[in-house]
Amino acid sequence: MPNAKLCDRTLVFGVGGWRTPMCSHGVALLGTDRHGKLTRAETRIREIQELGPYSVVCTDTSIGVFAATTKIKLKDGNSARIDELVTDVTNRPIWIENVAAIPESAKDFNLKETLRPIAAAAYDEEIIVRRRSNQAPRGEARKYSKIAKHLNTSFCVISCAKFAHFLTEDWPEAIISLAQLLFHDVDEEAEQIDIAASGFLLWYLSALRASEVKYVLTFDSIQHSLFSVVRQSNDRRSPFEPVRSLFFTGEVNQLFALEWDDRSWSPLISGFIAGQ
Amino acid sequence: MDRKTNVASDCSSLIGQVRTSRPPEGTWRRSFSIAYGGTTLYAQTEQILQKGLQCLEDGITSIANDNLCLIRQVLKGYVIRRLQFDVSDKIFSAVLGRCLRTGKIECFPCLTINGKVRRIYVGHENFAQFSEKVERVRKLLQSQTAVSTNSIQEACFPGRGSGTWFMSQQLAEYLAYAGWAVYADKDLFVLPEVLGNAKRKTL
Repeated sequence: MPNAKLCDRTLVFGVGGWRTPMCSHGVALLGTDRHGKLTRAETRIREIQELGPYSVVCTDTSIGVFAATTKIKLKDGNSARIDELVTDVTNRPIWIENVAAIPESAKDFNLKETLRPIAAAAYDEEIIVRRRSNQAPRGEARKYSKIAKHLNTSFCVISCAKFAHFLTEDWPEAIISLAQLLFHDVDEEAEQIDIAASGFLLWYLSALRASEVKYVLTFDSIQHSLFSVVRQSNDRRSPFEPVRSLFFTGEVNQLFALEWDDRSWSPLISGFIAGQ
Repeated sequence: MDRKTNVASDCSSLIGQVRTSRPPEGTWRRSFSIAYGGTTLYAQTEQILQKGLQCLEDGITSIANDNLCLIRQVLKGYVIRRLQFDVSDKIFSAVLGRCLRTGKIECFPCLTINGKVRRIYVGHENFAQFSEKVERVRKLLQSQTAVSTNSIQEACFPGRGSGTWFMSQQLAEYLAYAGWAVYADKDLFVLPEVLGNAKRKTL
């Protein structure tokens, strides 16, 4: 039976957007069929006992966090285990197939879960994040957030209810405004987002695509990165892109096996296509 | 010479033969190369290349595991002292990058008083201890009006060993990056008011 190993930080793609495997039991997911078209398929998810590091895969347009044993589809149609790519020292470029999918809605966007890795606190009604941005809040952001300054540090207090309301009205705009509010760097004219918040980053990239904004990601180095800088760019993008940064980090909390029936179908996992 | 000195001297001799650029035609009969990120490293034989880089990698990981957390310059200084050999910055960066890539060392962001981000390096064996000490400092911040680097050192490193004051400062800087501490002075930290006033369920 075809299957893919996922970790708790890998996101799968459904009609409501990106979601964690924990919340995806018995849910139809989107993936590519034999013709490369995005189609839905029934999947099953079960927890498996396996230890290992998280693996981060970064390209010009996507970022994913996987288990070391996750397989992803390469440009040549073959699949490769991520741990084999991480330990490779041949300096050959690794090309991966990216899928720039746009969710129909942001039903599965979970503000608390996506910002938790970088939040100072996450309460039921509000989330507090130290602001990386040095730009004053603009537009709609002023409606769902307030700035709390203490000495030389400024915090952003985001109202979950007000943000959820904005999200239902215009989800791409809501997520883009939140990214600018928290991460915009005036000097760089770009958003510098922590790799730890990879879930939020993936949603932000989907929001940019939904708004037809072309972008490119850059990373600290090939061997490791703490941040991803998202810049607007008019360069033409191909679905096949070289890996820009690839590394192990930390230890996985939970590992899952995602199973499906049709061998010619492969699920989307964090912007890439699962290999078999 | 004792065994430790011999190992250091073997290592430095091997690392000394590793280059970051291919030597001019005719200098070496053959050359072998390996790519660590954007840097390609060369040596005359495959054995020199592999053993030399392995020596340096082992030196970096063992220093990182012997100390809770270090900034790059200090890590490099300790490695040079142990190997008794001055490694070029480019080779050191390439091998440190390799350690980060393979998860032998982890990198964490810290916030300096000037609002700049600096990176600290934690050996794989120290992850749990690092998290435990971060949690201890968080509790300290919740229970006291202000916490100095000295009091963090007292709580986390009661033996006050060499370098532990700086490690204490880095723990606080890491908390400042995460938004769990605010600078009251260059070595004095307080709990952010926005968190302190809240009586809600925290992370």
